[in-house]
Amino acid sequence: MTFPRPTWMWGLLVLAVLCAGCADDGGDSSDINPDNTPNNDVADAAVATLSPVDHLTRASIALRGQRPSLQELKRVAEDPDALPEIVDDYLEEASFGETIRDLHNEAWQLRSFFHSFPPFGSLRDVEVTELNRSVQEAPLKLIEHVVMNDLPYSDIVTADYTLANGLVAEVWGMDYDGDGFEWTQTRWPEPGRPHAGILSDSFLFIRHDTTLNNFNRGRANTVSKALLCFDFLTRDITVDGQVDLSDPVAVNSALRSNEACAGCHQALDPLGVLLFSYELRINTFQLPNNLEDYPLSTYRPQYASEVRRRFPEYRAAYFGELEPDNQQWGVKELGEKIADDPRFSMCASQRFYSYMAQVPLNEVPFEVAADLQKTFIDSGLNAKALAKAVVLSEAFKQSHAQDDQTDAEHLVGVLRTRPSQMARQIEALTGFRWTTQLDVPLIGETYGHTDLMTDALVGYSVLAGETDSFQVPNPSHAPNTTTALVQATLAAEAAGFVVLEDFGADSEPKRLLTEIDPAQDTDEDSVREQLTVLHARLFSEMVEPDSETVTRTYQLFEAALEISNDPGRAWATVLTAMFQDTRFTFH
Amino acid sequence: MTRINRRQFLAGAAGLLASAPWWSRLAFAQEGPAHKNLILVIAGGGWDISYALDPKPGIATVDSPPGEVKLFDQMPIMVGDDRPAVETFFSTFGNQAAVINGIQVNSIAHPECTKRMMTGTGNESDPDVGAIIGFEQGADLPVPYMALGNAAFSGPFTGTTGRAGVTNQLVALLDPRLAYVSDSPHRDRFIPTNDEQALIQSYLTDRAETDKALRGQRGYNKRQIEDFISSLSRGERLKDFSESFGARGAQLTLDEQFDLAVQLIDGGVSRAVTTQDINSWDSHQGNHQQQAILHNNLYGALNNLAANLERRNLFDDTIVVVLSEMSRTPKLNPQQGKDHWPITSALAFGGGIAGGQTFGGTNDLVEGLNVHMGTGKVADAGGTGLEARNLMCGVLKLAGVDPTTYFRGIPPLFLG
Repeated sequence: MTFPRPTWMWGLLVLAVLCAGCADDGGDSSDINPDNTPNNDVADAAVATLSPVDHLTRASIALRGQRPSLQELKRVAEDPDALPEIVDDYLEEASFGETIRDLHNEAWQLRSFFHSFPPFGSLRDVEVTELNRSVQEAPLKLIEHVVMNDLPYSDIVTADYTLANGLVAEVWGMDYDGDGFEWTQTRWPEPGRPHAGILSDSFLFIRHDTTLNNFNRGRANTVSKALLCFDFLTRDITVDGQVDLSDPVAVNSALRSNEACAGCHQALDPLGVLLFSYELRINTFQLPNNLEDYPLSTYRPQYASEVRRRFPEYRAAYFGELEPDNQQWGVKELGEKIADDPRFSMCASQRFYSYMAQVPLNEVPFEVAADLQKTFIDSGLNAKALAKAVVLSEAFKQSHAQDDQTDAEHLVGVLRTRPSQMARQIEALTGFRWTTQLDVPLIGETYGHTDLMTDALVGYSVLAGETDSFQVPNPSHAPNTTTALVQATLAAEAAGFVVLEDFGADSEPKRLLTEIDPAQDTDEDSVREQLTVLHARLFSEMVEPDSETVTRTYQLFEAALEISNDPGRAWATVLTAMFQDTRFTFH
Repeated sequence: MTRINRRQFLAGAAGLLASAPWWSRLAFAQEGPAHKNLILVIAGGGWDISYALDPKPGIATVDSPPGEVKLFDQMPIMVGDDRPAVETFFSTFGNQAAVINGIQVNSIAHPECTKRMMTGTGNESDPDVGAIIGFEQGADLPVPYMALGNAAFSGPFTGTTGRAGVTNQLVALLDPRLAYVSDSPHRDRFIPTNDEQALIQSYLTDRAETDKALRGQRGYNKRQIEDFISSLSRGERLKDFSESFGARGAQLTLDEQFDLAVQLIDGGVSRAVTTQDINSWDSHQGNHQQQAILHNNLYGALNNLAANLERRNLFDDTIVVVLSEMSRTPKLNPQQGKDHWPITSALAFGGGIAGGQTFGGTNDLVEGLNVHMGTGKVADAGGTGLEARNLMCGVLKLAGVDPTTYFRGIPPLFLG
């Protein structure tokens, strides 16, 4: 065997590789450990991609709102090809189901305190938060059930059942044989009521209500926007001043005959007719005035017949496909047609990518969405396959532009962890969930046990960048003053909690401070050992104890200990800082 | 304006400024006013413009409220005994206020109209006028743009926007004494001392700078990390202002929001503040009963706001814009209410406003009339339709911000 180059050059090359593996100065992390550096190695690559460890971290947070375990990080560091298998495991976890619910709430805007159900009658002792976490969550639970059980995603609009826990069953009068907390399959109680997944859900039509004048147009647009990504309202509406909008007869005529109106209404209104089986509008805050006790029924089958009788010119149709003369379509037929509509799978692909990559829905690159849609369809509409395709896509792995000629604006880039994800991330690491008990009347009743990172009325979710599912319809992903305040306060609360837990009398098993005993271990080596583990678990930084990276954090510990002379406070100070770090805030 | 996201927006804005001839930028700087503060007031739900700003009494095509039309300088305003605050406001401040009528919203859905009126584009990824002014004129302040109501579109300027929360829950983050008590089993909270906090800040800044060097040298990443770094100190500075926010747990009334807005501006915390009436103006039933009370309450609060600004010598340095995302149908419906109408009005007063005038207009069918943007007056011939973006451009120009950075080719409505 001959070498293509002089032997001494090969020797230098080997030496260089060995030195790269052990050099660790911290200042330039490209020298620390190849596992943490973006992939800059591909010749002419203008866009750096994430290292396998960082890619796993991004996928883990995007899918389940938690960081990878130390073992998973080490596994991928040693074998990057293990990443897809780890992703498969993530897709089976309950936390992925939570992500599915969060993702779909952005589409459907259901978690709205403006549409809260009051506790009264048989439910008078139930807290507001508990009641509404059930009722408002039920449609999302159905979607989660479909996804987590590997059912075709189209079941979300065709399922012949619904899900309920004890509270939901009591509100709607459903059969229920669970323990009150578990979600079980059941059916809407009214005889003959059609089932079409979430399109049958009574709360969906309370949240998205209508009036007779509005004629279900708002509801129809909500369905179209959420499931087909087609929003009628993005079109300009130029009203002919000759039409008296306060006169239903005049409006009715104009919608069919006036060109300015018919452009949208020829598709929108027939869609609205399909939804005429539910009460038009219910002010939930007025329920105790109108109802002695739950259950509440919002199913009005007579409306479907009545609207066809009174307004025969409003012919039910699905985007031009007319309802046959001898049939009366409703949500069941609507669900079937949506499931067959190619826009349905494309919209789902766009929404999954938009959510996980934090790209506005109307900015999702078409070629990315098309690839995802193909994968989605080939999988039989398996949403887990879609989610996996998103996090394994090349676009998702983008880190940063490497030169000024490269477009640095349209990369996935650094993603700020969402408030709900941050809450889960903190809880998984420390056991701390930022909740409070509010025994004060709010919206008329005792508010109750409140999660401060997911509640919009009294909590900080909107301040941290979340939607409130009503007046703040979209999340924001940039850091600002109020997001920083939320995170700083959460960081201190969680840091204090885990220090007390891990250093307490019954501290086994420890959650985070696993390598240190505060009573004995304040020497530098012990502290650095602990910090090394923290850097891996909190930042996915696989560094050495004597690295400059760890040294900076050790300096923080040392300075904090000098101030307080209390190891517990010093560790709380360190963790408060680490829970706000860019490597913890962004993924 | 084409749809753009945060990344494109800021990149484009920077490029435009960089490419403009130096003399044009200098010219604008010389002729434009010093920066002005902005208070945006949202009367959400759709106000009935016949109740004050666009009177149409005695015509068959419009169901008008009781009252009479009075001329305040050159502004015809509908006043009535059931809403005396309207007359009080225009009597006191009319010569420093302007009415803008005939704004075409091109929608009649609440969320869509709110987007269009506030951003001028209908794209919720675009910034509203408060976000722009906050970014352009107050980037060094703790919270350049503060949203006291829910309606706010920060677009690419999320980094310079802050929210108080619908029940003023921001105050619980500013003052540890007002924090919610965590129901964790450990009652003792960890609250860093000032010295510990200084260590934390230093650590976070150092680490962020390292991260920026690695992956935040350009574009979107750069802004994200720079916003992160600046947010660290902004949050600390805002804590010095915690007492002004009042108590948590209840929605702030319009009067309370106005007081806080003035304090935020006067205290050097914000340059622009959005406020929002907690009452809904969406009177599909019983229009008169609701609109009379709502108008009286709104103008009562505006009276107090204007007086407060005067007392603090902020009136000439602050533009107040009052708007609603839509208005109401000219005629009553069968439930004695009024439904949605896509032509609305706005009220502006304060620094630089050409007071005592009505800009734009509507005909007897309450359709918007064309205007000459350079004068703001209804065009006898020619002219163009008045839309929210023209109003926004006019406000930006008055505030000392070059509107062409954000609205290329859109003529600003003359406001002063």
